[in-house]
Amino acid sequence: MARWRGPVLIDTNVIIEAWRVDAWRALRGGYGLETVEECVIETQTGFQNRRPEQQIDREALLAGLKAIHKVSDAERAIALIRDGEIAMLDDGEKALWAHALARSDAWVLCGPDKASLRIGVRLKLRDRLVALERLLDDAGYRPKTPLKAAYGQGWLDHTLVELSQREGGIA
Amino acid sequence: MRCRRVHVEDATETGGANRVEQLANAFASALLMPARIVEVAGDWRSLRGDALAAQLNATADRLEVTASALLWRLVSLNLLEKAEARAVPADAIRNNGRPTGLFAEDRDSKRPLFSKRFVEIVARAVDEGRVSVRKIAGLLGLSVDDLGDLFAAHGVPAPYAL
Repeated sequence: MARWRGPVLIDTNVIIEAWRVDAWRALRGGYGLETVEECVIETQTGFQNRRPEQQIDREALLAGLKAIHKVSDAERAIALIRDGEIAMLDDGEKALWAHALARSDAWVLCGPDKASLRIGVRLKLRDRLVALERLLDDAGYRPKTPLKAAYGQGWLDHTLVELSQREGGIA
Repeated sequence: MRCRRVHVEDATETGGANRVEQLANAFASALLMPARIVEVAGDWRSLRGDALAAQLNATADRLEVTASALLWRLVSLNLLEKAEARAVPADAIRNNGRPTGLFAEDRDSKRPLFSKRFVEIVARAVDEGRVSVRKIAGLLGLSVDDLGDLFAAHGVPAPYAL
């Protein structure tokens, strides 16, 4: 599959997983990665919410990100008005969607949490959702440490069908 | 759970200080220790001494009551003579036969933080994408990995791992 050339928005989960399987270098080399301030903060603090925490080198992380966006209150409010269910996301995921919805260009979003994927389905943005496995495959990289299931293409496909059916859309 | 423990820890031969309390205890006993369950839980009339205490403790654990409450429930159901009940050493059935003091606190600290019903609801909400894993983990004061342990502790299938 041809590699995506546009912006790739990634959340905290994806950064942590890419780090865990030692795929950050391949990911940053293959794509224009962008995220929001909240996600960067989460990877660098106790808000990573992992046990044990991944030691993510701040300099290496920042060097691999094409942009780190600051999300305005207005963007957050607009996102919540578009879909109140965004409130059920974590701060980083919430901010990433608020930023994504404020953009007018073509982007894709990599964030495997079902609640985040459900927002994409509800807002008819299903085709913008990508799996980490797919990004790495297209970049020609296969991690030696297997990705967790939720970062796989098969899991994403299956989950999007499930969520679409539940949300009343055509799978 | 907490109400059960309060009730059973106050269990006495007379069942309470006044008539209202006695009736309340009798009602709670019947509700938490149904006769048809208690009757088949052990050969109560033939058990004596340590064997009786062990059976009391084991059955009380299953019913999530204290052994002393079960003891007097057996008496009220005529499954155990009052004299036999009085002969059971209080120490043998205190805290359902488990060590008290520091050791008991150690055991309590290993109890699951939340009820199984609650954990099932959380798992369903996560699985249906109604709340994000990171969000619910934060709300519960757990790490994402602790959340997986919580599901496992209750035998609830973890929705998925992030």
